Amino acid sequence: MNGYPTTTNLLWSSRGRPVIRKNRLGKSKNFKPLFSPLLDSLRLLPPELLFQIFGDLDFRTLTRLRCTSRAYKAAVESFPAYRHLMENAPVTLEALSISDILTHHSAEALSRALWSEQCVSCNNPGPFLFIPTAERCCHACISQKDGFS
Amino acid sequence: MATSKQIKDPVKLIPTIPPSGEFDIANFTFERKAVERSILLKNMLEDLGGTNTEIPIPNVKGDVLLKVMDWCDHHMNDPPTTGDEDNDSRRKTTDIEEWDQNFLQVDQEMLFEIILAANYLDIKALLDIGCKTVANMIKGKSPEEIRKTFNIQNDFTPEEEAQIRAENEWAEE
Repeated sequence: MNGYPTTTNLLWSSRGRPVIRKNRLGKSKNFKPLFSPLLDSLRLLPPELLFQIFGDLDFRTLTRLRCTSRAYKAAVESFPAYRHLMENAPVTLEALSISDILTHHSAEALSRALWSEQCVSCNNPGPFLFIPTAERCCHACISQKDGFS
Repeated sequence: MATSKQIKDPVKLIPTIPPSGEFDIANFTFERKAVERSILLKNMLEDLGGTNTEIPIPNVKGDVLLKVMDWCDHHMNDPPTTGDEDNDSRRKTTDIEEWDQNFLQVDQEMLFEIILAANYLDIKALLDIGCKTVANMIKGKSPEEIRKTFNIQNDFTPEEEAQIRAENEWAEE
């Protein structure tokens, strides 16, 4: 227990917004304040800038950042690209991880591709993910257009 | 320094938080074109009309302002960035050009100050490369290395940490 002198602590709610909560130090033995007394430098940035940085990171790095501390766990989990794909496309992500492609694209790019529906080239429905660029495409375009080879 | 050059169309920026140590307010005179890299200041200059060329800058420390204006000076002739629907151009510019890389080789505190200043002054290109630089500092590191880099305190209990690691296992090689 790090003895915090204040009666309230600033916590990150599950949505990543700071909320003030009464100090429950006396009631729960598992309680620990989320803001460490030592200022960590990333937290100098407001959440929208933190999210811009997350957008450049790949999924493997995001999951590692998620294990660093409670505040980052909450922050990563509230990052839209991470949350949407973890909820809706866990199998795809796992497949990309096994084939070692997960680290090649940013979470933002992957999320954009998986959430779109159309082939980037011809706007017909695109059921395939073109791995080198993380873009959606259709069979006709992959097999015929030069840009995909 | 900006004063050593001939400035055709000078704009004076007055930081309300002066830089540490001695400083010469003359050093805070910049080319209008460079100042206009900041959308905030560009709009402000437009609103003020042609005559008033002194702008007070709150929220940005003098040292940081000088550094940011160095960047603006170097990039003042860049083509203006296209609007916000630039998903494609964002993807193309994942690499940071060499001059910018050297420019951002500063200590962490300065790097974060530059990002905050670029955000406040609305200099999108500088904000982008700043955020990318931080992202590159995180990429490929283990959780311990990330904690060390950014001075993050591990506040999980050992059981919690083991559980989160187990949850993350799918993403590891």
